[in-house]
Formats: sequence, C-alpha cells, structure tokens
Amino acid sequence: MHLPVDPSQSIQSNILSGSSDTLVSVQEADEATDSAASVPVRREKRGFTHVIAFTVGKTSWAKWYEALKSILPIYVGIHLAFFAISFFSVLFVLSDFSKQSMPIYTLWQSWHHWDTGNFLVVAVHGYTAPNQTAFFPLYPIFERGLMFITNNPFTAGLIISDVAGLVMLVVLYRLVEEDFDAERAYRTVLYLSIFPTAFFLAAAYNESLFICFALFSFYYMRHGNWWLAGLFGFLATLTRSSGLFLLAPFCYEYLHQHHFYFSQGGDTKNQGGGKLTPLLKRSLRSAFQSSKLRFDLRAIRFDVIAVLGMPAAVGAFAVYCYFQFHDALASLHAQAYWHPRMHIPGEGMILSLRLITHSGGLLNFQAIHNLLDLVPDLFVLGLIILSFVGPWKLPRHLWAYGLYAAALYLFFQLYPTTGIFPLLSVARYLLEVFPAFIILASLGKYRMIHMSYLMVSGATLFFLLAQFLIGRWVL
Amino acid sequence: MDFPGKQKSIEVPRGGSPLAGGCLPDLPSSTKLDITQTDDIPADDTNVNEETAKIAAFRGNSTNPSGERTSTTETDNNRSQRIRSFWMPWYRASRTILPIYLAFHLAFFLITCFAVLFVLKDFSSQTLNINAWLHSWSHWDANQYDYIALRGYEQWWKTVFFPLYPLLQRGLMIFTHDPLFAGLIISNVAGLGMLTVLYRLVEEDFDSERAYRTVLYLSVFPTAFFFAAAYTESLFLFLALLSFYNMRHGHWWFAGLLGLLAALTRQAGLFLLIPFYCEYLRQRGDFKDVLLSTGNGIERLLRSLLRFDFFAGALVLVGLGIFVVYCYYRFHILFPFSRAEGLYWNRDLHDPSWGIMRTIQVIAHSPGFLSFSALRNVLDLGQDLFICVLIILSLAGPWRFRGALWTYAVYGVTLYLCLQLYPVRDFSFPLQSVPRYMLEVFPAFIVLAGIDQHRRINLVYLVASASLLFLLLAQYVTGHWIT
Repeated sequence: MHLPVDPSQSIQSNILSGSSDTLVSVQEADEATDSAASVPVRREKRGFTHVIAFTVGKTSWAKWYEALKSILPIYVGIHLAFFAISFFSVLFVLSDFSKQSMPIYTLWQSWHHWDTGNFLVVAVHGYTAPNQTAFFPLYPIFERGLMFITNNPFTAGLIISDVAGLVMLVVLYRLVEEDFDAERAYRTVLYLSIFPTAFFLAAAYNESLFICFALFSFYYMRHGNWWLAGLFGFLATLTRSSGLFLLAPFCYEYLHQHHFYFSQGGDTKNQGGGKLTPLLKRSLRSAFQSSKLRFDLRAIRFDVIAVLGMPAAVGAFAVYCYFQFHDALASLHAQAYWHPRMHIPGEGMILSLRLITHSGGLLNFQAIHNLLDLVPDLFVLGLIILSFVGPWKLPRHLWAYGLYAAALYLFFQLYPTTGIFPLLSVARYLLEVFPAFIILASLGKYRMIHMSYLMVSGATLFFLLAQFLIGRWVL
Repeated sequence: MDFPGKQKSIEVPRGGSPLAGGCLPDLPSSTKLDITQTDDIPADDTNVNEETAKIAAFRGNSTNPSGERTSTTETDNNRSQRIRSFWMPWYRASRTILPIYLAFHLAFFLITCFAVLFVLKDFSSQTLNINAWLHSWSHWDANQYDYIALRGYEQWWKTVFFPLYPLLQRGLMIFTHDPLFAGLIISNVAGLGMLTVLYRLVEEDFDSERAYRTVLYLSVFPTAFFFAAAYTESLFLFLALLSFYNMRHGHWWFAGLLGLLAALTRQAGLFLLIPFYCEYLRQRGDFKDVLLSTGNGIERLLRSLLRFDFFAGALVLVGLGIFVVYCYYRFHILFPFSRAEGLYWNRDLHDPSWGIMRTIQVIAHSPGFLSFSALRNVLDLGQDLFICVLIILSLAGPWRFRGALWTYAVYGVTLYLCLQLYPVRDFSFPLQSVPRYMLEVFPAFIVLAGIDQHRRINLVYLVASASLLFLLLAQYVTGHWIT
C-alpha cells in the first residue's frame, strides 16, 4: 500500500503547501487512486465527530459486504461444527446405552465454564472484590447492557462474543485483503478460525470482542484515520489490557506515514534483520547526527493525540479502581495473583518443557496439557520470526504487523504462572497475535502445510472444545 | 490409451506389471492387424474404431497412441520408457493425495494421544501404559478380525467376517506377531492405495481438481477413521476401486480378479457384478447398430457381447463360491454368513426405507433429545440421509452423471440400496454400522465434489464433517460403542 516514495519530495510538497487544505502526501494520493477504498485524499482540518461522519458516509459498504460474503462460509462452518460438538459431546457424559437424557438447556449451558463465570459476576454485581479487576470492564459492561433484552447475562455474553467474532473476521479479511490479497485474506481468516483455542472466540470470553476492536484500530491506522484508530484502541484496551500494545503499531504507522525516516541513505533502508534493536540503534545514531534526520516536525499534527486512547483506557480503569478499592493499581495486583513475578521471555517455555520431561511418560495429564500450551506457543513464535526474516518476511511498510505481534507475544511470555502449567492460557492469548496467521496464510499455498495445519489444528480444536464442554479443565 | 481394440491384449504376452495396458502405449500395429484379421466378423473393425472415438471423446485426456504404434522395433530404452510412463501417473496421483493422507493420519495420531485426557481424571498424576494406549485402536469388529486371524473360524456365526482380511493379517503376523498391528498396517497401506486409485479414477473420468476434492471429502467423512482402524473398509474399497478402474479401461480379467478379491473381503463385493456388466454392455454393445440395421444387427450385437471375457465377471461369484465351499466343509452349513446375520447379528431383510423409518421412530420415542439413543440414531440417520441425497443427485439434477458415466450412478444406487436392506431388528439402533458402510459408496463423494463449483461452499461440509470425525474417533479410541 505505502510504496516507498522519495520522502524529500513529499516533505517538500508539504512544506510548500502549508495551508489547512493540504494534500497530505503524494503517497496517499497514489494509494487513493489505486484502490477505490474510502481513504480521504484531502484531509481537511476537522474535529473528531467530522472524522466519524466522514468515514461512515464515505465507507464503501459494497466492499464490506463482499468481505462478509467471503468469510461467511468459514463462520457458518465453524459454528455448525461447534453446534455439532456441543450436541454430541453429551455422549462423553452419558455412559453407553444409558436411558438417561440430558435436559435441552445443556446445549448452551455446557459453554458456561471457567472464566465465563468471572465475567458474569462482574456483569451482574459489578466489581466487589479487588481481585476481580483482573478482568477488564468493557465486556461485562456490554453484557450488562444486553441484559436488558436477554435478562440472562450468560446469553448476552454469548451473543456479544459471536457477533464480535463475525465482525472480527470481516475486518481481518478487509485488512489483509487491502495490504496483501484476497486469497491470503481468506486463508488468514480460515487459519485463525481453526486455531486450537479458537472456540474461545465463540464462548462467553472477551477474546473476540478484543480482537474485533484491535483489528478495527489496526485497520484505521493503516488508513491513516488516527482518531478512529485511537478510539478503537481505547475500546480494545478497555476490553483487555493487551490493547496497550496497539501503541507499537500506532507509533510506527504514524511515523511511517508521516515519513519519519531515520536516514535516507541506502545503508539502513533494508536492514530488517532484528526486531527492535536495529531500529533503536539507528534512532540513537540519527539523534546524534541530526543532519541525517529526515523529519519535519510539522508533519505531526494535532491528531497524534489519538495515541493517548490506549493509555487513557488503562487510566480510566485505574481511576475507577481507585475510587472503588482505593487502589489505582488493583488490576495489576490482581494479575499478580496468577502471575506473581516477571520472568525472562522463554523461561516459561523451558519450565514447561522441563515439566513435560519430568512427568514420567507423555501419556499423562500434566504432559499433554503442557504440550498443548507449549506447541502452539512455539508455533506462533516461529511464525513471528518468519515475519521478519526469511522468504515470507513482511515488507518494511507493513512492519506494524510484525511489531504488534512481537510486542504482544513477548508480553505473554513475560508472566508465566506458577504451578504445573507455566504457559497457562497462553494458547488462548495467542489468538490475539493475528499477524502470525497472515504469515501462515502465505505459507499455506503449499498443500502439505495447508492440509497439515488444518487437520492437526482442527483435530485439536474440536478435541479441546469437547473437553471444555464436558467441564474438563481447559483454560 | 484405452480402447476396446486392445480387448485381446491380455492373451498377448507383454512386459510391465499385471495392471499394464492402462497407460502403456498400444501394441505394435502388426500385432493389432493380426487380431483384427482373426476376427470372424468383418464389421468388427469399424465397430472398434467407432468405440475408440467414443471413449476418446468422454475421456478428454486420452492421448493418441498412433505415434508409438508406428515404431515396429522395440528397444530396451523404449520399454523402460513405457514402464515409466505407466508408473508416472500413479506416482503423481499418490504425491497429490499424500498431503491429505498424512494430515489425516497426523490428526488421528494426535486424537489418540489426547483421548488419554478423557480417560484420566483432571489433575491426576496417573500415566497411561503405552501398551494400553496402542491397543486403544482395538475395539469391536477389530477384535473379531484379530481373533479369526489367530484361531481361524471357530464359530459358524463368525463367518460374517469375510476371510481375506484376516488371512492377510495372518500372513503379516510373521513379521509383527500381533494381529492388531498387522491389521493396522494392512488397513493403512490399503488406505493410501485406495485414495490413489480413487484419485486416478476420478482424474481420468472428470478432472484433477474434482479428483482431489473427492479424495478429501471421502477422507473427512465422519466414519472415515475406520480406514485407518483394523477394519476391512480400506482394503475392500481399494480392491473395489481398482476393479472399477480396470472395468473403465476394459481390462475385464483384471477387473474380475480384483472383484474376486473384493468379494472375499466383504459381502458387498458381490455388487461389483452390476457395474461390471453395465460397463461391459456399454463398451461392447452397440445398440445404435441394432436400431439402424435391419438385418442381423441383434446377432452381431450378441456376438460382440458374448466373447470369452464376458465370463470374467463371474470371477466375482467365484470369490463368494470359494468362501461358501469352505464354510460348507467347515460347518456343514450352506451360506452360514447370511444365516448368522439374521440369527446372531439381528439383521433382517427389509425394504430399503424400513431402517430410516424405524430410526425416526426410535428418535421420537427416545427419553429425550440429548439421550444416548437419540444422539446415536441422529448420527446414523444424518449420515445415511446425506449419502442418500447425494445418490439422488447422481441420478437427477445438474450434477448427475452424464453420458458414458452412468455406470457410477448404477453402482452407487445399487450399493446404497443394498446396504439399506439389512437393518438391525429389535435393537434400538436400526441403522447401526450403516454410516461406516456408506464409505463404500464412493460415487456419492464424486457427486459431492462436483457440487461445489464455488470453492467456498464446501467448507461447511469439510468443517462440520471433520468435527464429527474427530469426535467419533475420540469416542472410538476411548472404548465407547462405535461400530
């Protein structure tokens, strides 16, 4: 989308036409003519509400409809499968040839397990104990809101998750379709939907709502619509604390789209070897050699304030916590209950590996559950590495994806839990690292990888779902 | 590549494998001339040519072998090239389906591992014995075959399990010592062969995309894990498909021989007789000639039909005959297996819709919708009706088998109907095991592969069916009642 244009040229044009009604950049104009997307070519000086009105008015609904049509088979197929599993998993509860019959509400009540209950308590009674603040408030608020119609917070939660799940897939499709191609978009959606923990997207958990907001935020970042990106970032962070890591792609995108090149020389242009360190090194270097800093402060506009959306959500929740429990960091302290201390990334994996080898055989509860945590974790790690190096690496203008994935992934590795499952729930959090699935989609053109991933992942997904539904321990 | 002009080719000694001819270039012209000269009917040559054209018309990819035919001398180089050109398509086919095969086996392996969690309690520190784990695939009918492989037929009612599979198990036990592992090896090797033959068959008669999808859809059918279990399904389907493939190519003796083996594997092998003679009639009989000519058209038709290889189809009956004779000497009962079906396995002859109707009744009278009997009957009925719809679509509608492909439709319909004939009588699961038998109705999957020209619709079937496949497999390996 954002082809590297000679930055000096566009900066010059910026400087020359310093009026309010300015052409943002040569680059964006190119992009707008290329795709029929509703990217505002001329960005007028306008307020927040104008941006929204403008976006809603100019959105090409046909494209969204097309995206919806493309992903609907996946969504319907997966949900049909979930339905079938919740139906037939009863066979694991009843003994063979028993005359007993389960009541019909088992079908949806069997989705009511583990964290679901925590969100429901918050939705019904509000935050009554400090350790509940580990669960961020937006999802319970939505549940509460929908309770006026459904009367049942659990049903409300399911509806929110599943609607958000559908919207999420549509946005993901649009995002990848615009930055890559339709084939890869379809595959990305498919691969995300069949990830071993993907049934949490349909359960009354806040994953799908969070990913939905995060993707919206990402989508508007890529479109340079900073206000909306900030707004959705705010909502995402209010849903899950991981939303804070949207800051990384936001800053990168903002600087990138405003031509913040550290130096113009060819020496630093394509050195995409490491993740963050070369970037930091270069920024330090360029700070000292300011002549190389190709950046015009005037390129930064008022809309950079939108970046505060993500911290603002954390702040707002902290203020609430302060008034409620006289502890602004209650949420942090509550997290510490499960994740007592920070570890070096990778330590959790080593711990998990050690627990597997010391479990006395692979065929026991501890080993299998640790494998189920560890293997997806390593798999996604491999994909994130592939997004920076190797033949499938992301082009530089799409580094926002890689940065977001790497930051989020590292965060998940920082706080392994105590006990026999160090990587507890990480496999579920990995759903949020959606750029990994984009890389997997480019690998998926090999039939062997495509089929193997689909079958292995599908088998694990349906197995875990069956376990979840009969009330076994799946987090 | 394949035309009835080669009908006598079997009598002519030729290099290559026993399945040769399918892809070998045709005989040198001199030999061919001999054949046509020895024929009594002068009109036969034109007949042959017409049919060649016909077959070439419906098989789009049949190459014109005339180029090779002109060479009168056959060098060693030429022969090795022929052998290569024979094996290459098979090699390519197996390479194409290998991702599906491997992916499914990987998934089966994982499910077998994970199923341990259904057996163990949460947070238990117990570790499952590796031997017990390996034997989690030995349940129900697999045990029966193991028993027969070890001790032969001791009770007369066990003759419902046909002998070829236990025989092969017995043979392989020289290496494995455990009949279960022998059975698993046979099933999985036959499974790979089966998918390859299916791919080749559909690829030749339709196109490669459809072939790939057929293989995928068959592999993902909810009961498809029986292909990997120590059951006869994959061996039977392998033999039946190979027989079918040879029928399509007009190699009647190979088709008959494979039909014999198939009939020794499962009772359903008997129904290969129907496609055999349909195909024979289609390739040999020229009804247009009968209608047009006023004179001896019927006589000519009969002469073209009643050749020696007309009796190749009877080999299928010979297969059954061998087993009947064995049973008679062993137990002094004629057809003990059909009697055992009724007396011991509670299966009676009913009209084809009886099982379906009865199942609906059972579901309606079950203690609740989420009870064991209702759920299992819904599973049986759903799969049965799904194949039923596909079979109907193979006869009528935009996806039906057209033109020269009606043998598929005939085989599909007869096999489907006959598999419905023996529902279980007084037990509360009338369509017990029928979903597994449905795997044998492979034309249904060809129809299914033809339906979704739009790639995206197929996903719903794939995902939903895969979820049931893995669920049923988890049930099977944890020892639940899945037959």
